[in-house]
Amino acid sequence: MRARAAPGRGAGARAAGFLAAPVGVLALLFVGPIAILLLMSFLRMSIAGSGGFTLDNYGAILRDPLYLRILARTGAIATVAMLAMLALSIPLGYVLAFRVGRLELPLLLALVLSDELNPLIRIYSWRMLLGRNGLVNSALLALGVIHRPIDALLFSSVAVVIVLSVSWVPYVAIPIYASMKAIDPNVLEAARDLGAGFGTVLRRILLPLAAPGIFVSLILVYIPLFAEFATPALVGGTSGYMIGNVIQEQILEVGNWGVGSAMSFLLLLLSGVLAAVSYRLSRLSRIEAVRG
Amino acid sequence: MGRRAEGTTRSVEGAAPAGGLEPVVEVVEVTKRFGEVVAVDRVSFSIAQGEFFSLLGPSGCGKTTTLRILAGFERPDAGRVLIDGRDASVLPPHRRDTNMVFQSYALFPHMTVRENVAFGPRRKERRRLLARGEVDRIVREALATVRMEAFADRYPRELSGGQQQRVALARALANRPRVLLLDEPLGALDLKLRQEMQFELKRIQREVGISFVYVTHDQGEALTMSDRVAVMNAGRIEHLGPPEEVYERPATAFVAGFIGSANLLPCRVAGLGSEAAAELDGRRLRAGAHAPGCRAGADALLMLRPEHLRLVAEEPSPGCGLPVRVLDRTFQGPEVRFQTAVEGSGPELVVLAPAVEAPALGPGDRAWATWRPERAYLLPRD
Repeated sequence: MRARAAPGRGAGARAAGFLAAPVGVLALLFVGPIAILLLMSFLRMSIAGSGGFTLDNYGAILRDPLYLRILARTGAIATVAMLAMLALSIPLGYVLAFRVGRLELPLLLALVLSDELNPLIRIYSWRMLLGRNGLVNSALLALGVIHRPIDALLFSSVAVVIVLSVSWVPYVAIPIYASMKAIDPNVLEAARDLGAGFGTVLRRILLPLAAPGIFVSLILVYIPLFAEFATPALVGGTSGYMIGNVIQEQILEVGNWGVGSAMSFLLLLLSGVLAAVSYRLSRLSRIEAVRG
Repeated sequence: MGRRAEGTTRSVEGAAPAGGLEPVVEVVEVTKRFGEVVAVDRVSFSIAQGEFFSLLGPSGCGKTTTLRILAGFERPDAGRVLIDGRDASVLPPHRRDTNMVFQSYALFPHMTVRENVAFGPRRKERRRLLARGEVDRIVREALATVRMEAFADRYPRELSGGQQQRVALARALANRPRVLLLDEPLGALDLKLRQEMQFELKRIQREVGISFVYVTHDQGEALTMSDRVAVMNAGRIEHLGPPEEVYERPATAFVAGFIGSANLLPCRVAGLGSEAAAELDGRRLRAGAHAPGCRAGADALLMLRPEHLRLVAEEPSPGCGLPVRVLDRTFQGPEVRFQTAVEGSGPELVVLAPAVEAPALGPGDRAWATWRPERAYLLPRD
């Protein structure tokens, strides 16, 4: 960010002054804990106490097929939820940006408000909806579609995907809406005018120009999804168990800070790689072309 | 010597282009409403092959809506649009033989100039309307037409406004439409560039031989470039005709005021013989022609263009002048502008005199404002 003050002597010092506080807070509360996390993941811990450095914590994770399976499932749940949210948000963003006219602001506010709901209340509402005696089962029974309640609705990876998608969808829809809003509507009309049907407009114009928003939503949502633990704990059951739950269990219940930290750090590394890939992709999609 | 103004009717017949050619586009009694507002009100006209046709009017007069109906972006509530004699009223934009140049250019920001221009031809290639390998040649030709070959690999953001304008034109021309629709394409350019582009557009239009429908609020632009001009006001065409006719014999007071500047003196129709006569302050004034809406004895307006008036010292022959008092004199470079008021009743008259022969009159001086009777024109008062 550029300071508004006239450039020249003192401007640099003033900028440094402005930045000192946020940089300090970040260093203390963000970089510090990560350093501690990293340190602990390499510490040898036993009942006798800690001592010396080791790679055992990482070895324990990478050798255990159970951990790897949970990691794979975590990836699958996050990916399916992300795809579901994109499938919902791209049409939603398009409709909000170009089709609803005067309803644009109220609908946008509704989308933002849906995120204001306390996450626990939201998760418990979904338990009520999807449970054995929940609304979905009752409705299906009453309609005669099924004769016995479906137990798999709740406490499964499907339930986790549904609840995660609904919880996170505003964070996907709003950046996509924003990047679509930046498109001159005449550009879409020009494409149609030149002979493009709706499919071509979507593929050649709308998606490439909305790509920055899509990648922002990946960074904002896809990566945090890997670290989810509250939702799978409450609606996932054993088959919806994610890597976040393992970390929580290792640290809070087993007390194995070494493995917990190593797992957290691996997750952080994965997030970093995903973020870098997303960023790179967004550059490739000519993020600057939309600004220019 | 007097003549009646012809061709200023608002009927459908009057809207037909000159020459016996089959029209490329026919608009028949088209109406479009947005809620309570009638944006386009029973508009009819047709456009000949290779014609440069302008829709001229103030903002909100319905000219852009009319253009968007031609392009297929809006559906008319009533009436029909025929392209090459076939009803196109319900065809979506991508199935019409029309292409549009947008005021904002609407270039695809993520594509190079070449990719932008190739967009239309590629769609035709997909639909097998174009042989393989034709696209490259078409793009080269289109870029050559607008003299932008050297910029083929640039992105739109790397081009100036005028260059983007040319690319937008090339992109629309590359599809070889039956009619090219232009929505205030020069509106965003500065004055000098705008004048250059006017001639450039005319050259390109002659070269490609495609009919142009040009929407503008700039009367100078419309007069300079058009074969025919339709002046629109409040959703209706008030006058449709060649630029000279629209300028010299406007159908309504609105057209007279909108095209150029005009002195419009309130008067009464005193006679409509071979030459019209107006009565103003008990004086009988001669007018060479009159609009079709004039009725004997009715209220009317006498139109006198400032450049057709001269200030003289001696009283001219009866009916061809009014005594005036000079209020102000302004030097404008090529001409001098006199602000005057008619003696007695007092309506103001603006007189433009070429600077080289401007009379040496200043504020307070008395003179006669005189005109050749065929230059005076009588209009109905709304």
